[in-house]
Amino acid sequence: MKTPREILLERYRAAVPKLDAIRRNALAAQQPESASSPFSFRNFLWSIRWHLVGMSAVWFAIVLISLDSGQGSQMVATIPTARIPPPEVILASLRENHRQLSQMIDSPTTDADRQKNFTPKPHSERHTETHFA
Amino acid sequence: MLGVAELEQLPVSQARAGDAGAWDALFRRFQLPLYVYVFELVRDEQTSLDIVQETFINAARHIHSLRSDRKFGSWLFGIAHQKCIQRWREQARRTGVPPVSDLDEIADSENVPAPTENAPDELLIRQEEEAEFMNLLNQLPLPQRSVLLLYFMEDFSIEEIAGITGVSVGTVKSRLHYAKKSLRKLVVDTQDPDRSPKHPKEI
Repeated sequence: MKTPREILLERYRAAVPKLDAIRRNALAAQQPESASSPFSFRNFLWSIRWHLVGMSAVWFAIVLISLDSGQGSQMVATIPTARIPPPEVILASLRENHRQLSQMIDSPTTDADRQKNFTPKPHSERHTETHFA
Repeated sequence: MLGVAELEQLPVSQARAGDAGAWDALFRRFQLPLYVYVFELVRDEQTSLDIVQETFINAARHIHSLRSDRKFGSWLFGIAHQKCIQRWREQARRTGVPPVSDLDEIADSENVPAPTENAPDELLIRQEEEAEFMNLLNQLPLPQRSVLLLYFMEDFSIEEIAGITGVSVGTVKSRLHYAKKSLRKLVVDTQDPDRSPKHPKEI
């Protein structure tokens, strides 16, 4: 013998798997919004990750370019015209640089060697050379 | 008299605090009785499953409106009952045909004796008469069936059944009286020696 309750529950026992699924749905639906929001936001970020990477690269390049050009123009702008040396000084400095470069490129020669190998040129040629310099 | 659910230690306070495990335990406890009740009223599997799910979701959203933790069961059945009525009304609007029997609109005579005070678990049905019991239950008018199911399933008090169904205590008494009268020939009252089972198998 059974109670009416036992008979009724037994009769509908086959619905339990479906009811389990419904219970899970109801539990998922009742999750507080604060808990579900970061999850969906993360999903959203994840879905647009390649767009974000591309946009970041573009912005990085733009920043680099603007920094580079900014520095150049800033340097040009900040050199005071009063500190630019006169052309004679620049020429002398260039000549000195040229001499030092030649010394470094050529085989190491001392002043003594240079004196030894020195063959004076005709006076006319020496004059022209001086004139060009 | 305390109902079935009131005798159990249900984790209602934990559920109020947002404990998902407590909600799972509560839903697990009530899912089948609630489904039986709803199905016996609407007689459609998918509609019954939908109503049970909506009841659970509503319960979780509106748990703050539950005054006493001990009344969780009757409160939950009350939500499901209202959902059933909503479905009937929606169906009536769609089809243009008024509901066959609206639980709220059937008037019952209140001049009836109070139902006997047996607990549902003191009423037993013989195994060979289970099918006949279900047959008789299905033949009962909807308001009587509803009251009887609430009484059988969860042993709710007359006051609780009145709260669930939204009718007066007198109406519930009347419905329960006539419903039990209809089933009397099957239901064996174990507390009444004159009506105790005669068949050896029943003892």
